[in-house]
Amino acid sequence: MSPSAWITCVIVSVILYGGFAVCLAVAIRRGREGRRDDEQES
Amino acid sequence: MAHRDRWASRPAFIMAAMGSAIGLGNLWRFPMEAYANGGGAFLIPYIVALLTAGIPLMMLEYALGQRFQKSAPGSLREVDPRFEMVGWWALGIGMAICAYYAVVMAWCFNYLAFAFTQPWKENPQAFFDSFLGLTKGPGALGTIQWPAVVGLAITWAWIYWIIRKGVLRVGKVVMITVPLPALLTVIIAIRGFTLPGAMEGLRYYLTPDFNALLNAKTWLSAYAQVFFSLSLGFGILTAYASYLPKRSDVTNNAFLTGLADAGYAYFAGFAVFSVLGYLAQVQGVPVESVVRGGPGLAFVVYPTAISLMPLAPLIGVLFFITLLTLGIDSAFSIVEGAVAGVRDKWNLSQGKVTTWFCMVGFLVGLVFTTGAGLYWLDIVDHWMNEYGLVVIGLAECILIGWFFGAAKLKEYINEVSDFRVGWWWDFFIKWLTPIALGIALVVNIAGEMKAAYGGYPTWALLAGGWGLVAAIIVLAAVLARLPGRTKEGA
Repeated sequence: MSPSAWITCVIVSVILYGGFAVCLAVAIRRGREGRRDDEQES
Repeated sequence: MAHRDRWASRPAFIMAAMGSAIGLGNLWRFPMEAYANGGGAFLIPYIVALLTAGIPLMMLEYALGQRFQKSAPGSLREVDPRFEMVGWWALGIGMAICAYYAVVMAWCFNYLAFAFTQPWKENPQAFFDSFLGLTKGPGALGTIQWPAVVGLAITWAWIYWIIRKGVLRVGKVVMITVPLPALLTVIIAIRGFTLPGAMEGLRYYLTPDFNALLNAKTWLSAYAQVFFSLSLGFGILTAYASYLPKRSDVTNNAFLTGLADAGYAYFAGFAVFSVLGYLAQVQGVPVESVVRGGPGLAFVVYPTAISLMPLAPLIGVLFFITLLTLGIDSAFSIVEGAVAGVRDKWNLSQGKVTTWFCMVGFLVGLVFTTGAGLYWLDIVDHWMNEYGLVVIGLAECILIGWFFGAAKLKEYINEVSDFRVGWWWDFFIKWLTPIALGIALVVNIAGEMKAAYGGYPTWALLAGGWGLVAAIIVLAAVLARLPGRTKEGA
């Protein structure tokens, strides 16, 4: 593959999978906080 | 209704939404669109379209369902009773699509059985000749292909089993049917990478031709691909979100779903093109001569390549299980969206409505199992996607953006979400997305004026295309006018 193909591959992967990982991390953190709040309330 | 079904957890909802979005098109449409529109350069307009139209519209559909706690027709009725019809139209278009989508899954069931003996080795074109019994045109129906009917019955029975108990069972099923095809695609891609010629195939997929970015068609294809891929305009996302508590995060859910869909499609391209590169090398032809999208890729080109590999039966089985598990989430999500619409309005039981929808879906699908089925599938697919879904997306943007008020819905989204959306969301919903969809619509209609789609006779295009679209509009208008049986539906 040409260098331009490799660069495209890396940039797109960072945007799509990196973006997904960030969103997932936020969702997991929010879920943990929610569970902790529920436990404290009960 | 006093009680509304709920997802067992947020992951169950996210998996179900991902499963709905990630379907057969991610595997057999996206890589071909990229290849035909500048290779790696296509990914630039694709990501732009995802961020400026796909995810904003997805947020709109999620927010509608979540805020009003109703499926598409009910939510739009809450916005304005005159808009309810658009919701029914979305569900009608979805069911028409599901009728043929289930037939494609039926073919996958048949090919899964064939994978053990690989009968296509002798004649790959047997898919069209003996398997479909393809006739000369849509007017010659030919005979019903019974193996496809059996596959169709299994598909609808599967859909029925999954959704008849509501979203609780859906939430359990998607924990298997969403990660499984992703895992299988990784296995197939790894197998593909290790084959001779794979790098040549990937070169075709990824080498960017930046000149394509100056072509309006490339941008239009990117917006169309994003729109069709994300399950927008079916009313599915609104129905799914209506089973979430009102305080659930809209923005992050939309980004998770949208990025997962795009991420899978992008990766699927590696699995497809590495194998195409191998096939081209073995046959001693250039890669472009083996590139094919849609059913031609899944049932002719890919099986041919598989039969040339070591461990062919195993790879064949894995490939068709991948297709089946990709397709099932999309198929049952469409039916669930429609079932939710009927239940919300007439307060009927999930089991009863599901039974009716599955029976009607099976019977309508029989048309696509005849010798002319592929022609009718092509016509209906073209009209439902290009005119049905695009017009619904356009209507949603206009009704919410301009009549209900994008700012009002944005306020709700920001109230419940971790990531706040700004002025850009209003701009995308009120201007950019409707303009992109409007241009797509005008270009399609202009194309229709120039030449009959697919060279089909006018009567067939009127019956399976414009006629079907018109019939669904009339049906939607009738359903919207019928009185409901619950307080909310009245």
